[in-house]
Amino acid sequence: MYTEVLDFIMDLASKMGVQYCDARITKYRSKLISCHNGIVTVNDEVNEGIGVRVLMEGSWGFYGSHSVELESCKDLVEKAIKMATSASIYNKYKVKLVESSIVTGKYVNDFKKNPFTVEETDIIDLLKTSNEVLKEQSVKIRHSLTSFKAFEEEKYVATSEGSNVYQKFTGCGALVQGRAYENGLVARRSYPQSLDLNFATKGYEWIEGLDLVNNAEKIGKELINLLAAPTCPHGTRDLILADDMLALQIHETIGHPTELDRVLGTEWDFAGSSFLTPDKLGVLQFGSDVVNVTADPTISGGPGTYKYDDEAVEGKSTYLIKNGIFIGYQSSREMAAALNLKESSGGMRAMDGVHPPLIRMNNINLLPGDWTRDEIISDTSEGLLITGPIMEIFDQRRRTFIFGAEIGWLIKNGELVEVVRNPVYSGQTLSFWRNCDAIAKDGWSSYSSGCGKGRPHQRVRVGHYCSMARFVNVKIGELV
Amino acid sequence: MNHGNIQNAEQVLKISEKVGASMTEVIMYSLHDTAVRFARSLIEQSVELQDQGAFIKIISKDGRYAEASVKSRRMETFYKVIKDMVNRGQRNKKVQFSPPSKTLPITGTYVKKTAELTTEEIIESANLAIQTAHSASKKISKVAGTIVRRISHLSLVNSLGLSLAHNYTGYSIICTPLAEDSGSLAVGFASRSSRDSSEIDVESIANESARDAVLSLHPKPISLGRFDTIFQSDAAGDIVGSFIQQGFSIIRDPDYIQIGSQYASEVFTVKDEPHNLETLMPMSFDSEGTPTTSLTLIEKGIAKEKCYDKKLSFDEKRPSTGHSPFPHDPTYSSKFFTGWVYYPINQIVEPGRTTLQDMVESSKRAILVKRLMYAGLPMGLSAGVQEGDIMQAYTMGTWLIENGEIKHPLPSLRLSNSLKGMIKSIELIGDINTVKKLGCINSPWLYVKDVNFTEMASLAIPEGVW
Repeated sequence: MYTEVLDFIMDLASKMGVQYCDARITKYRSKLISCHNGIVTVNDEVNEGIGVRVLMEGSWGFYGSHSVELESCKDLVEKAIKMATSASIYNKYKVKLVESSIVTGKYVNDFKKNPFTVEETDIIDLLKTSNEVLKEQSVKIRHSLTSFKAFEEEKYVATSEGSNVYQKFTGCGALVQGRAYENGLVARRSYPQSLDLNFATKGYEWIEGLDLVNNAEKIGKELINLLAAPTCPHGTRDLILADDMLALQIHETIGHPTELDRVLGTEWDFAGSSFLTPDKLGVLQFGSDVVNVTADPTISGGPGTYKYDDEAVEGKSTYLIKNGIFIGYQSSREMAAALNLKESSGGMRAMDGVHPPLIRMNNINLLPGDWTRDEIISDTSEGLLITGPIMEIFDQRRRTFIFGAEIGWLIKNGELVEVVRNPVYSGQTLSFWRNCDAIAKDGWSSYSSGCGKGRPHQRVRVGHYCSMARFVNVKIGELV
Repeated sequence: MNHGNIQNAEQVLKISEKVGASMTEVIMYSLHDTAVRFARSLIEQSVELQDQGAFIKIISKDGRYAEASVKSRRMETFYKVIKDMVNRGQRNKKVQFSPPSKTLPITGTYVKKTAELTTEEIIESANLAIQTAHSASKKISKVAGTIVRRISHLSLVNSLGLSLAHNYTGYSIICTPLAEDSGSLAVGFASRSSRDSSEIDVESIANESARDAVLSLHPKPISLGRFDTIFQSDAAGDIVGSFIQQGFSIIRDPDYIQIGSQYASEVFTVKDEPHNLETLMPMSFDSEGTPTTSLTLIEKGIAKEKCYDKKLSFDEKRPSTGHSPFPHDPTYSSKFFTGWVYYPINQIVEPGRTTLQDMVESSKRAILVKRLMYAGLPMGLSAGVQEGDIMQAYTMGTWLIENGEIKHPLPSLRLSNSLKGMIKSIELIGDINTVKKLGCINSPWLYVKDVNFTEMASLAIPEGVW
């Protein structure tokens, strides 16, 4: 029925004289199970929607609705065209699109155990047990939260050029998080990451591999240590970012600044811009020569994995930084044309059928280096290892930043010697990445994020593969 | 105008009874947004979307609770979801549904004129903003911004006979022009929100933002450290809103403030007034169907009252004050209006007596800040840290005041200061003429002593840096 709806829209839009039209229908369902201090809640979400985007007289128009019916298609197309033609009256610049292959395809991600068919009681037992184990570590742990979410998203995309793709993504994620209080102090620890559940486009085997119960015990013990720990000293040290902390650094200082719509100024009204202006492409020494970063939606199981974007462009691995040089943007067909690039990177996605597509990160990855995680630590004479983001602040063009973490460990002569609380580090994006001198090759794993962008505001799943990296001479300290 | 919503919600109640639920509560919403985004002096994005859906809570016959969110209008989808809910509820003693009660009706939240604006008119306004900002100065190189119009219908019904409805319109504009001059780059900012689109003067907003952009060109660096700071309403709203949310909302950190303690000087009073039409988001009931009540959160600097929903009421054995926020986005709790959303959503900072002119002229050396970007506290906004309640943010629109005059623009500065410390250091509060309606808070300008700044970030990228 959905393909009929899309065919009808494409036919109608062509008859109405659009230059270009794409439409997407999404059907989404999720199940969130949470256990907070022993109380379990289950929340289902079902969302279906359709969005039609047209290019007419050089301007865009979009209309989105939750009514996915053949009868309402004419109205959708007419409204989208009205939006475009109204805008075109004022727009001297006319939008152009780079060429893209016409594709017909299907993608369904691999998984072993469908997270929707796992017995709910088994999942609840796992969450309750992890919750109890975390709380058992100390009476000072007053908040214990364990969560699981499964999602399934079906997406149909068609374009007036003849592309037609269907994709189905099934995935899940989990989180264990505790807060401990004592004498006016509060500490938080999370696993496997701190900002949200850690999602992957994998089956329930992803959750089984996380070992939630044992890690609940581990972070519970860390919470108690944190309450007794000194605050992070001020100064300049070698900084080792691990896991989700490194993922956040990649997200905010490489992911967002390489989004070509931001670069070209379309986000000034809300999120800001980017210092990675087009004159820097291919010439700027962004990081040290060990820094290699890709935007890669093709990784099987990744949080931001897909085969086709929402313009039906086939996703591919794109180097953003190669041997430290800034060489690529995340782009769309329009933004690629605006910069005379040969092709789109295939980076357009919408939160659902109802919202318009924007350039969004997929899997933005710091490629493995030559070191092991142990070697990085043992090679550090005086440093700080941190993980678990709690705070992220940056300027409008992402040139400077300050990040805070749940926990830090001081390193002396290659050994973790002391836990410190409220660790914070700050820096300038370029000098920070240019001072990256070691990247781990083991423990390369994915961390997800529900990244917000655009107006109306949209959140989509994105991911970062990374492990551990060291940055020399970084300004560290506690919160002020 | 809300009949469709209520009828649909009641239909969901019937489905729920049919599949075996003992009690059901349904919030049914319909949002119709028109968003025109301009950038690079072009109408970049013209979008209309209709977001419709429901939040459903059920209690099964054996007392188990389940909840779901459905974004669809197909009744067969509701049937399937609710049937599943009945089978998999969990015990939860804290869930209670509201019986019918007298909620004070609020009229005037739905403005027909706003609802009837055409797409062409909204796009025309966006173009007017672009042209006006360019006309204001030749140094304006590009204009960006957004206009959003929202039409909302919301209803809440339950098996106890509760049947409530709320309709509203909203209109907001942000304008952010870029000014360029001899290698210097600066961005201006101005915004307004109202339920009534005719109250929005697009040209005045475009002119204000263009003027700020030009006045921000060629910033001069300063030595970082502590400065007395005048926060204009947008920035003040982020500071007060963050503090109130941390200490008084239902998502507060319970240890963050103590009722009865002094947190600010006697000049500082904040109330939450859900029935006051002067706020942008008046509402007579909360998401649990409890009638909303006004609270004095801080009076003359002393913490007075906190917000309660039913869960917190259960835990702390206090009555609900009607402050349960609506889940996700069915009412105002989006970034629809131009300010960030802080809870509770009808905050009013009592204006002081200091005029805008007096505030500037009485400053020997101070920093003037228009807006904060990426304002945040550790651990997000859902928990405070006693020891480290440090607000971090970058300023946007920043000038140095010396001897009562604005001397020159400054680069964007990173503020790093204890949030409670800033509240405690509020020395002057702007008069009624400095108050701006930001979405969830009506805030005047604030003069705060000794605010700590720790980083500079000029927008322009100096030659030779690369």
